Amino acid sequence: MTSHEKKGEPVLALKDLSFGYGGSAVLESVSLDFRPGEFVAIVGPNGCGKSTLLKVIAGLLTPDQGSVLLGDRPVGSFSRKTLALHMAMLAQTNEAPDGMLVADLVGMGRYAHEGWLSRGTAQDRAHIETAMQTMEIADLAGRRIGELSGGQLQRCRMAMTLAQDARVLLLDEPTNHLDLKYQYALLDIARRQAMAGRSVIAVLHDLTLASLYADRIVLMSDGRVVADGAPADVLTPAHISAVYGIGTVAMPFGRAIVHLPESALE
Amino acid sequence: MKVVGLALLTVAFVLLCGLHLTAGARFSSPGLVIDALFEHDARNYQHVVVVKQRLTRLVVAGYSGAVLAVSGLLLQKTLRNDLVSPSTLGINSGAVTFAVLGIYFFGLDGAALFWPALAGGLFAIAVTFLAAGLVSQGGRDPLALILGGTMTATLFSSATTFAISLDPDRFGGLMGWLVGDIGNFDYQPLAFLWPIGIFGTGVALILCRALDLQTLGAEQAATLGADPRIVRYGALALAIPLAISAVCVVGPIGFVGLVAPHIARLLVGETGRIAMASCALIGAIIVTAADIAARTLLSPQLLHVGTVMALCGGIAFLAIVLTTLRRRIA
Repeated sequence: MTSHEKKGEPVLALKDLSFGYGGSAVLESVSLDFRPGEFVAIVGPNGCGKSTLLKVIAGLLTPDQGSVLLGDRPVGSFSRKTLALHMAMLAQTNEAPDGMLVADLVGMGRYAHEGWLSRGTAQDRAHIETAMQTMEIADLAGRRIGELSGGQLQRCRMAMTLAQDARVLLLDEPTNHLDLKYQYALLDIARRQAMAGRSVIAVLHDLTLASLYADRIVLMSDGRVVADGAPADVLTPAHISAVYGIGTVAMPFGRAIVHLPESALE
Repeated sequence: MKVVGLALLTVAFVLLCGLHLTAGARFSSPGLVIDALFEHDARNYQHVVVVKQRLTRLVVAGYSGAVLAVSGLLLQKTLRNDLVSPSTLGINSGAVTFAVLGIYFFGLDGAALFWPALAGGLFAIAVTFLAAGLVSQGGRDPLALILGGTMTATLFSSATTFAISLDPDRFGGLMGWLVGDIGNFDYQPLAFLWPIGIFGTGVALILCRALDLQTLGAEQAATLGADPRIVRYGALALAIPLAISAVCVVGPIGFVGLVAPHIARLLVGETGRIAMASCALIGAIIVTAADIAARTLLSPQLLHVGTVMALCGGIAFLAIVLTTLRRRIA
C-alpha cells in the first residue's frame, strides 16, 4: 500500500536530523515525511535510536542539526501547550500515582484545551467519554490506578492520548504490558485513527504486528534510516539480515509478513 | 464526591474554631464567645481573653497550618516524592538559622525576619539536593532526598544552637519560637506576611492542574502541554516562601506539611483544585487542634504547639516511611 504518496502535504517533516547524547551520535541525518492519514511504524533493533527519534519529533529533545517541521514551523518554536493541541504522545513510562482515578487520568488528555476557568466543558467530556469507550475502559472510570493491571493502565493511558484529539499521534511501544487481544485492539484503533485523517507514528518491536497494521514501515539501524516504504518492500530477508544480523525466511500471510529464523527451520 | 469531602472539612474546621475559642485554661461559653466577637467590651476581661489571646492564636494557627500544608503538597507533587515537606527537606531549619543570624547581626525582628529566613530556606534546600545527589549518586531514590534533608536539618540546628550560645541572654525570649510555638503576639508579623499566603495559595491553585500532570513523568506532562521547567520552578518558588512565611510567625513547626497532603489524598483523592483546597483546610485543622491540645492538656501550664506536633507528627512520619518502604518491597 503506497497510497501515502497521494495524500497531500506532509503534516510533519524531518530534515537532515542529527542528535547525540554528549558526543556519541544517536541519530544521523534522518530525513522523513509524515502525511495525514498514514500509520507509520518505526522498527529496528534495541538502541537503534527509534525512541530518541520520537522524542526529537515531540520536541522533548533538541536536535544538534536539522529540523522538525510541524506544518511550516519548527516544533521547538511552539509553546508546549500549543504543540499539545497538534501532537499527542504516549510515552513509554507507566508512571502514575496509585491514588489517581482513571477518569482523572484520561481527563488529563484535555489539559491543552482547557482555559483557566473553562475546564470540563461539554466538548471535553465528550472527548473523554469517546476515548474511554474506544479503549473499552468506561467501566474502570471510578477505579484507582493502583488497582489496575499493567495492561489496563496502558489502555487508560492510550485513552488519555486519544482524548487529546491531536492530528499527530506519537506512540512509543504502545503494545507494552498488553496481552494478545489488546495488542491487536490497540493497533487496530491506531490504524483507524490514521484512517480518520490523523498521522500516526508508532515505535514497535514486533515486525509481524508492524506489517499487519502499518501503511508504511521505517526500518532504522545505528541512528540511520535503512529502509522506508510499504511493509513488503521494507521487511525483506536482505534488510532483516543487514539490520538484525540473522538470516530469516519471510512468509507473507495476507497483509502480514512473518519472519522466521533460518536456524530454527533447519 | 470530592466537593462533599471539602464541605465536610469546612464544617469540621468551623466547629474546631468554635472549640478553640471556647476552650482554654478557663472555659468560655459559646454565648460569651459570640458576645466577645460581635459586641466586644474592652473592659470585660473574658472578652479580651477570647479576642486577644484566642482569636489571634486561632488566626495564626489556621494560617500557618494551611500554608505549610500547601507548601508540602507542592513539594510532594513537583518532586514526585511522598516523603518531602518543608521540614523533611531542611527548609524550616535553614530558615531558623538564618533568622537567628539576622537577629544576632542586624537586630531584625518580626516580619523583617522573612528575608534572612527565605535566604536560609533556599540555602538549605540547595544543600539538601546536593547531599541527596551525593548519597544516591544521581539516582532518584526517594529516601536519599529525605536522608539529605535530615542531614541538612541537623547541620542547621547545630548552627542555630551555636549562634544562640554566642549570646544566650538575647535569645531567651525566643525559646518558644525555636521549638515552634504560637504566642499571643504572633499575629503582629502575620499582619505583614499574610499576603504571601493568600497570593501563594492562589497561584498554587492555578498551577495545580499542570502540577498534577507532572505525576505522570516529565516527558508525558510536556507532551500533554505542561512545560515541566516552568511548573517545577514555579512550584518551588511558591512552596518555599509559603513555608517561610509560616516559620517566621510560629517557628519550625514540623510534619504538618508532610502529613496534611497524605490525609487529603485519603479523603478527597490525588488530583485537582478541590484536593489542594482540602489539603490547606486539613493543615489548618491539624495546627488548630494541636494548639487546643497545647493549651488544655496540662492546663493551666501551656505546652509548645511544636512539641505537640513533633510527638504526633513523628509517629505519622514513621508510618508514612514504613508504608513507602513496604510498597517498594512489594
